[in-house]
Amino acid sequence: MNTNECYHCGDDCGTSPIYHDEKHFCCNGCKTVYEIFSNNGLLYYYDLQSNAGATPKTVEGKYDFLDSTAIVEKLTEFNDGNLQVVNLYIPHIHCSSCIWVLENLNKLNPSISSSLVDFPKKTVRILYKPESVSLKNLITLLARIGYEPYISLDDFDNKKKPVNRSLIYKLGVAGFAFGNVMFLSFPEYFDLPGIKTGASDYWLEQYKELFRWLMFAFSVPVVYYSGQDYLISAYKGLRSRILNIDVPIAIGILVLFIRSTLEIIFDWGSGFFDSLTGLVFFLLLGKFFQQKTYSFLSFERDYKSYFPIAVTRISPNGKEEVAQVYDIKQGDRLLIRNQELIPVDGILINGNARIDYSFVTGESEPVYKVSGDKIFAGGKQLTGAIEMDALKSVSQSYLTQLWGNTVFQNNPSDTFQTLTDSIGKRFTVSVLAIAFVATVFWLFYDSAKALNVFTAVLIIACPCAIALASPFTLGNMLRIFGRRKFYLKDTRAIERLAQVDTAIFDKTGTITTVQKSAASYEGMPLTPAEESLLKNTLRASNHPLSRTLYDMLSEQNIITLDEYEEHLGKGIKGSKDNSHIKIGSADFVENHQGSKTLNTSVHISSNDAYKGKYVFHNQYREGVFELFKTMSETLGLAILSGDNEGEKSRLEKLLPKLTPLFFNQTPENKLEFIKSLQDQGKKVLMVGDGLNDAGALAQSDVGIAISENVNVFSPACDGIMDASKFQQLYQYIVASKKAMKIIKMSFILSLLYNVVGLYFAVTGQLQPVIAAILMPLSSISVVVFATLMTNLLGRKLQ
Amino acid sequence: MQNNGKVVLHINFRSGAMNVIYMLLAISIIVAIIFFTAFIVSVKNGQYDDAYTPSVRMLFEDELVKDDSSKKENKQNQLNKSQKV
Repeated sequence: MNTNECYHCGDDCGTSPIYHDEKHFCCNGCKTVYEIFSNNGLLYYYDLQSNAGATPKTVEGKYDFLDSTAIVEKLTEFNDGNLQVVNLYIPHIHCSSCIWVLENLNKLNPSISSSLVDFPKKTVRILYKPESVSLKNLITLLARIGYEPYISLDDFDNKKKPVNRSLIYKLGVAGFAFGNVMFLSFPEYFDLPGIKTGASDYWLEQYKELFRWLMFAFSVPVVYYSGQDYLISAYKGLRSRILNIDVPIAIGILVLFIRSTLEIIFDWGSGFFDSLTGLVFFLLLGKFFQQKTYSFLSFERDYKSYFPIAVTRISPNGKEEVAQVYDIKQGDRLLIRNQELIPVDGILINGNARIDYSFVTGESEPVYKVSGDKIFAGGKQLTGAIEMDALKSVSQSYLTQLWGNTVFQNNPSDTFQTLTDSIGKRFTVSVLAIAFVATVFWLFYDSAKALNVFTAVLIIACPCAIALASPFTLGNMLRIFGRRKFYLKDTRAIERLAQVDTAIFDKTGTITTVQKSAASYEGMPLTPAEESLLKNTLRASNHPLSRTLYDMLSEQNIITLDEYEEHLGKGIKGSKDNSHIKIGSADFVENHQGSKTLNTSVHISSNDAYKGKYVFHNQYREGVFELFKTMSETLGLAILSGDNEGEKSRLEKLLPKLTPLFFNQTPENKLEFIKSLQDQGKKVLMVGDGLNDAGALAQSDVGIAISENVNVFSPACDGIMDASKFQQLYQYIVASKKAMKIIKMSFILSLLYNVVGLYFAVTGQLQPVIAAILMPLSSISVVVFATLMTNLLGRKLQ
Repeated sequence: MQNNGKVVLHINFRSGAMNVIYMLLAISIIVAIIFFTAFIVSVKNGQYDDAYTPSVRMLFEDELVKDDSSKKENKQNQLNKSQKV
């Protein structure tokens, strides 16, 4: 173990670690968690996984809203006074230590009866006795040990969601029937024609009726329960005059079933129940494989999962009370504490507002507001507490109104025609044509066989392998992308990604990073003494810009300042011996010269003489410009930013020539821009990160949200991409295109099998055993081919 | 067992084998249905909703330190103290 690593959270302890129990800790918070664990016999936590913890962040009064019984009632799953059950989402859950400690919560508080972790979903379900531990105490306890749950407006009234398990049931029924039917049809496979004497033949004569009717009994639920989706989809397709891939599948299933039933009724043969059940089983298996879900991610989020559930309201008589966000009406006085979110549009009444709108409007720097200014919902208050008057209710606010747009009601993937569906159309037409030609031929040649041939063609041409090619290729691609931290909603997203010809990017948070900001110095050079004073003055300040600047400046000896003043919202002043330095806004340092700049800058004056300024630039993600360069060769690009034009000239220099740049875009502007591109027939990829991109992400053909931490909020989209993988974006688009090629190759492979099968069918020699061999063989080889090819493709990806 | 009288009459030596077939078929289907129902029930109870956590959970041993009275007191103090922090 690195000696400078915090024993609890693994962070660098810096120059002054805290020693306790022969271990290093980076802060008192981590030490306290360690103490809690060690005093309760939970030190095994550190044996399971070292440095598994998180620094607890508790904000005083953050969970006061849990005192309200109405809100507790809404959050809990079950509540009868003696027992409460709550299901909490805890983003920090990441290793076996987390599971272990969360399932041993009763050691920390005996009123907790039991707790159960669902690791893939990152949730913990806790049963506790509310008379001795309230929900608020419980959540504070979790926050104190570094497992702070994430509670948002979305959890409100969010009782247990019903889980749809029908596909598993259908798959189970089909698999069960398939196995049994296979088993029952074996005797007749070996009953070769010509061996009419001997015991086996006699034996079979006695039992085949029974065997056949048993197979029939097993097949009925397969057709009408497991296969119902195909029948319904084909019926719907036909009614709206679309020949989707489910039409030939449904024809195949029904013809197989009817012909087999007739065969056993009239004792013509043993029927094709084995192929029928196998076909449905394999098809459902493909569907199941395609359904890769990331249970810890959500692609359907709206502002509700970003907004708080409750806020502090100041009643007319001056008392603070907890109010549910939906209950806030125009004219209510609200108290927004440090780091809290503004839930509704309003007017600032009291306090120094420094609001971070980066997630909402795309403005990269926090803005200062003074009393009487309008402030918008979604902003985050960064310093101190403020009071505001609500102007609107939550759903009518500037930002949240966006969700009233029709884009959020209709799902573009419903109307999207997949490659399989477009092939299905041609396929159905040609199969029907072959079937009719063959039937007509046999009507003249040997009319007794005509019906046999007609049904045989429809059976053998059933596009089982074609229907499997796409689920297995794309399902596997989805997993490969997932392992590379590119999480897509469904397989259709890959198909749409492969067709993209235009890519639109948001600026703030998408191509720029959130954490780092780079600054450059403009002005007269500073003397070493001034530099030292500057660094030491910054050291005392907690302002984010001071911290960034402090980290950037070269190391200086620590000196003790004689005097230090902080002027809130203006700047800081420090002095040592006879010199003093002022750092802050232009007015604060009395700078009346020089040009105004839109970029954030920190001005410096030494001994009342203006020296210069540090201009902060957006820090672009690594590899962004290389990515744009390669993408511009094949795709149309544009940047849509909600920010001001401060970065325009810099971006123009760095991006490929003539890349359109748009600034000061409202969320609606972005949405309309995408719409107008689509009206020109473009397939648009939108890459964004914040709530202000939500409309554009929903409108675009493929919307990808970039996220620094995929566990925290990201707007509704088709895919979530880890920010570290941003430069691989183009590679992923190319990989999707290649995946579509693999599907086409699989189609050809399965068509070859169909040709072989059709030969037997058209010549009237289709035996059940041939169908029973050909169908699984073609399906399996297509599945193997698709899987191998996508794995090869995946290996080339970084 | 249901049996075909005619068959018993004609081929007496096979009747035993035939009974066995019916019986085996019945048993095999009943056993299969029992397993199938068990599967459906376990899915319905949500046993397959989380296929990962149980695999980790079963590896935990009971590593908890036994509660002795002195520690218990300490623990309460600690909890109370940190509650105030």
